[in-house]
Amino acid sequence: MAAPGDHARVGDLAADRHRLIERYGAPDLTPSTAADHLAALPRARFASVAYRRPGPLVQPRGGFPSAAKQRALTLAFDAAGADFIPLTVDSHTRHNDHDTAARLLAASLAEGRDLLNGYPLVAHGVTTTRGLFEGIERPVSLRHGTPDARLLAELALASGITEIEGGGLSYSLPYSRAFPVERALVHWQYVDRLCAEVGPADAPVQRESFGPLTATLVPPVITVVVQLCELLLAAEQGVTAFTVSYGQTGSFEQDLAIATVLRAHAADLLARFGFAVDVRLAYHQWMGAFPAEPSLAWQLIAVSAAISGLVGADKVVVKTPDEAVGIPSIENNAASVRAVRYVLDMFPACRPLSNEVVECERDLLDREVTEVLTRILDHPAPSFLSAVHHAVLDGVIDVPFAPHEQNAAALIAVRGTGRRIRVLEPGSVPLSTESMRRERELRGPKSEDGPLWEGLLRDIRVLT
Amino acid sequence: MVLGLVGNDIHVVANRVLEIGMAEHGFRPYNLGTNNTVDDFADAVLETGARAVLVASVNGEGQKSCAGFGARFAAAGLADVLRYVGGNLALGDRPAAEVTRLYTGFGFHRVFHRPASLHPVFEALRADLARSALEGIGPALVGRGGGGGAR
Repeated sequence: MAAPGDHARVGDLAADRHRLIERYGAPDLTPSTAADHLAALPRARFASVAYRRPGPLVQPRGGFPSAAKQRALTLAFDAAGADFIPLTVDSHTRHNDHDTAARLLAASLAEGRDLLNGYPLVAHGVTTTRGLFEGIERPVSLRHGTPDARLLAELALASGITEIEGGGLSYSLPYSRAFPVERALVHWQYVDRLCAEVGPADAPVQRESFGPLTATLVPPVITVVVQLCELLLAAEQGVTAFTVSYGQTGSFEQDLAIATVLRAHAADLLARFGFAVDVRLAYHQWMGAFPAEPSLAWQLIAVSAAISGLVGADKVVVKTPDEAVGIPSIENNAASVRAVRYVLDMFPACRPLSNEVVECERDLLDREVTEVLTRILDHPAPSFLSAVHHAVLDGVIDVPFAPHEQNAAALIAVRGTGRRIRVLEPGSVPLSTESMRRERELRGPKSEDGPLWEGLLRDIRVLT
Repeated sequence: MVLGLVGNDIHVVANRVLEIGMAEHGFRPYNLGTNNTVDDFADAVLETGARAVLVASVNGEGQKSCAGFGARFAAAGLADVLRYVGGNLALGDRPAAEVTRLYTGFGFHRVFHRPASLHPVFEALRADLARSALEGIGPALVGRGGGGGAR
């Protein structure tokens, strides 16, 4: 059995870090920069400290190419009362194409228009990035999508960013076609170990997984299993502050069930393998196709904010009414933060709800998660990482609509009764006969006799 | 048949739905997924013996990846393979007829620019494959203009 444990901790990070930082070759980044800077940083700048307040804390997203515009966005978020400040990185940097990012940054500045869909952190470097957050007493969260985020994480931490989103599965399968999953997993071991090493003892660096994945008919069991795998992989590397997350499913009952099951399994697994990790729960507002009409988009944002409170999330990652159109403006971003805060204030200190539908979803999900995790943990691989890698190759972890060539793409999910996401074809995901019987039962009668592909398109566009 | 997305394009959702729909309609899809070149399509047709390729481009930048598609297939000895292209084939509000003309010029037999449904794709494919089984296709079809799906 590939039991997760401290024995899997990477031993030679110092040599790797030295090589990586030397190759980057900027005078303001050395292997000790991050630890020194974080030690001196006000504790209000740490995500793990912010999480000591009751949630849901509000986390917007946002990234612009120029430092000036990113600074303006940061100030707008601060004024709007966002609990977390984001730094969203552009897609060239995500693929470690830093030359293109630097060229398009220069062109953006010269032409006065944004030619990148985020902030090119590597091109800007440490000194400029630190300047973005001067005088800000809130934690900054790195939002990206990078299969190999070693250099990005080094720069982020050295710049005073105290929360790093991503993971070897959640930032490869949905974001890349060809980046080998095994390499992504190994590079994320580096990031996990780095986060564990450079944070102060009283304010550890927060790691966060990315639960929404492709945000397209992903069944809850896949979401939860990916979250738990990344939690355990981070724990192996000594991470003590970790956020599991998931995206709004489109079913309130499944949202509630996921929160309960994810928390329970996380606690069980950590206890079982002897890890001490402070686990937090983030809820992503609807990550699927958004309505184009702003008045409808606002309703979705408001309802989703309410659900984040009702599932007892520690953090809600907010959307904007521009979502269907393109990259949101600074004003729209700030307006979203105010709107979500307004809705959350209507649900002070609310307790998670339940009813028989939620319990039924919870019981099925709990069983399915156990079935898939057992298969992964029972794999005769030499390490937990290797078992997770094999789970992808074998289709045991199968993310619908992921572009990655190593993803099995055999699982098919649809929406059934109550718009809840149901596994129609499990592919190689090891769901028992009993679980699949329940999935069929809960799917209910087919509403129309149209072909499957038409139903899928309908289900994907369910909230547009 | 071979399907996939051309160019630096990672919009995989419609691609996967199309694959499922084709299997449902009795075709045998071989899905190349995202980020393919013309040569990837030609190689896959050679390897699988496919009778048709369905090239998709969703990000509006398909032009540069699709130019010379038919000529490239002809050079590989694949002139008789049925070639469809669809998706969001041009940025902005270019008239559908103009987009269809453009891609027909690249050597595609049918063009589906922003189709409202996939039904016309399956219908056209069934009809064209039946016809090609009888009389062979290829250059005769080129120049017929867009398929029923182009708006």
